[in-house]
Amino acid sequence: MNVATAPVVSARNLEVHFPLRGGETVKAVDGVDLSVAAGQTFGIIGESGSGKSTLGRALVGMLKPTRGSLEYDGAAPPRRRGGGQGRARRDRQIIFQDPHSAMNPRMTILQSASEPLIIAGKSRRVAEARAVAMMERVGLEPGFADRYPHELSGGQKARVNIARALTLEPRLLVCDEIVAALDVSIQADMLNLLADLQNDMGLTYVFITHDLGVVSHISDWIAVMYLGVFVEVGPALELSWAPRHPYTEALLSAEPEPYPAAMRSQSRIILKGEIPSPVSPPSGCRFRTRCRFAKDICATERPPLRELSPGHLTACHFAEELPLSGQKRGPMAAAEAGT
Amino acid sequence: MQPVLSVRNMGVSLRTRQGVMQITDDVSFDLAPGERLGVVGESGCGKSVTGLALLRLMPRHITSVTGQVLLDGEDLVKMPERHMRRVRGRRMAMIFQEPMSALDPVFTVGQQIGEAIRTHFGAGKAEARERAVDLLDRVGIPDPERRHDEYPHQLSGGMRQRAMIAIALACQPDVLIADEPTTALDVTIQAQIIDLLLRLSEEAGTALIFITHDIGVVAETCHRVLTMYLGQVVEDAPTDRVLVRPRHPYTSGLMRSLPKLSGWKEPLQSIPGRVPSLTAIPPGCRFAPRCAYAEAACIQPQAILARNGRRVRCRREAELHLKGTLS
Repeated sequence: MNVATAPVVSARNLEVHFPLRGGETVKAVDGVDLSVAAGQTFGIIGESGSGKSTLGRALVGMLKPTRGSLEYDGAAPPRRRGGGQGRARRDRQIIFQDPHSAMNPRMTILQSASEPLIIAGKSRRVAEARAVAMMERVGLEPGFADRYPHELSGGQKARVNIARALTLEPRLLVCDEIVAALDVSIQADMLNLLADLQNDMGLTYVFITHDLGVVSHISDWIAVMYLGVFVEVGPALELSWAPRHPYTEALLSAEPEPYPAAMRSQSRIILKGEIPSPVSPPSGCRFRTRCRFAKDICATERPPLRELSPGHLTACHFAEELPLSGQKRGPMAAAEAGT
Repeated sequence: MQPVLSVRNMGVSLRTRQGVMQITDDVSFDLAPGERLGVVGESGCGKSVTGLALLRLMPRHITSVTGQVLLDGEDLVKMPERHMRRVRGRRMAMIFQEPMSALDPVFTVGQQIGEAIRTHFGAGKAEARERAVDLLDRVGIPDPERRHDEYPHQLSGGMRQRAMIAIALACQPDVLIADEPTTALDVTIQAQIIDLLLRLSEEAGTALIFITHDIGVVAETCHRVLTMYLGQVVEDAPTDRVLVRPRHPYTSGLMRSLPKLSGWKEPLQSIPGRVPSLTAIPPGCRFAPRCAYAEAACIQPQAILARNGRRVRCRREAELHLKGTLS
């Protein structure tokens, strides 16, 4: 397949299971298909326990899939050392929520940021020059190079992590909740930086978060994950304005709205209970135990992901008939109504 | 109406190895019975310290508090510690972001609720149990009889937060301080907890101080919002009015940074610069070095000015037209 048109990463029926003592299995990722085109941002949203972080780790090769296949630029990943595995690893990087625990407290920022290049075989001089250049690119002055992680603020540490991941010039960057712990103003700076870097370097992002406001702002595509499976996938705006799965609707509805009372949605959907255990997910539709529309068939038949409009898929037996509502309130609605 | 809590020029300072650090300064506000007050601001603005200092929960040997904290007219700052124990939990209680670190891992949930009831009301074992089970039921914990005898680690994050709320409400306090109670929770569980706090505050007439960084949460829960920056209150206004039209550039900056206020993939607005360190507090208006509207005169210290039921710490508040979350 032609590299230029093949997706940067694609997964088919990907499963990541963790065996427990006593013969049970945690089905963290339980059959996911995805495909991310070059230069795009693919957002994955879900609650704790949905399997989104496990999926992210599997996408960069940190976890071995139990079943299913992964392809990068249209080719299966090399299986053996020396078979191009090093290059393939460098091509896909991942950064995590807590930038502090991702850094060695006894290494300076420059040592941390240049280490990947040294491991990749560059000389210290070349590695440090590149690391400094990348730190500048993410907005860290050269004066930071000799400091230690504890001397930096949360926002600065997040920048170091981004710089370190990018020194290897990856094609795919998986971001796992990287703005969740930041104050809103710093979060805005980071999201702007990620957008600039994507434009300049042609990066492809998989952006994992529980924050709908963030994911619908930066993503081209959004997948909604629940108990190891995607329940809805679609173009970002279409999915947040016109969701086709009751779980997506509930997530959108639960998001607090920073508007005056008169501008807020009047009826909030409050889901009952909590996400069930991924050891023994409900039969049929996994969301049925918390779904306000659930019927008998939902317990017996697992709804497949069906394409309702181009690129917009949902796993719900009743997707066509449900009167679901998306993000409608706030400034955009006010503008539409001409107020 | 007579305020249940009235805070007057409260300042909290800490003795550290680098010298005395003034964490908060000149914090004043009133809280009416049953009122829900939001306190917003970024990390380091002093919102959590304010909450802890109200209950005198800051480490005693290194903290000094100036000003007054009047609970029904009685000054808590000067109160002897043994009297303070009858206030904490009984008249004013607090819940935290991380229930796991606030709950004691070696006692059952029920014992921890029962302790409050037995301490403050002198109830017997059987009565304490009955009331604890009833409280667990009221905060929406399924199967409360069984949960009463479980330990914190056996509960999910959302259930632990409910258990902590049950402990806080065990003595029907007049004031509940909630410090980021939903920040660590998933959005669907957050919605449940907010719903619960609203219902309980309506039913019992408990006044609520809701400390959060999330303007959306404040919009949905609070009557009034205090915005804090670098240890000071910079704005105090009714929620709906401040959302439509903030009067302090910092409040506006916080709101405008929200991703959902910018169009899809458009650059987000942020506040230039960073929050300065407490050891290098700018003279004059503390926000001036980051403020797009600062003038030469803003290097003068700025008092908080009251007008039309709002208070704003900005000398230009009347002339500026700042954006809120609409438009």
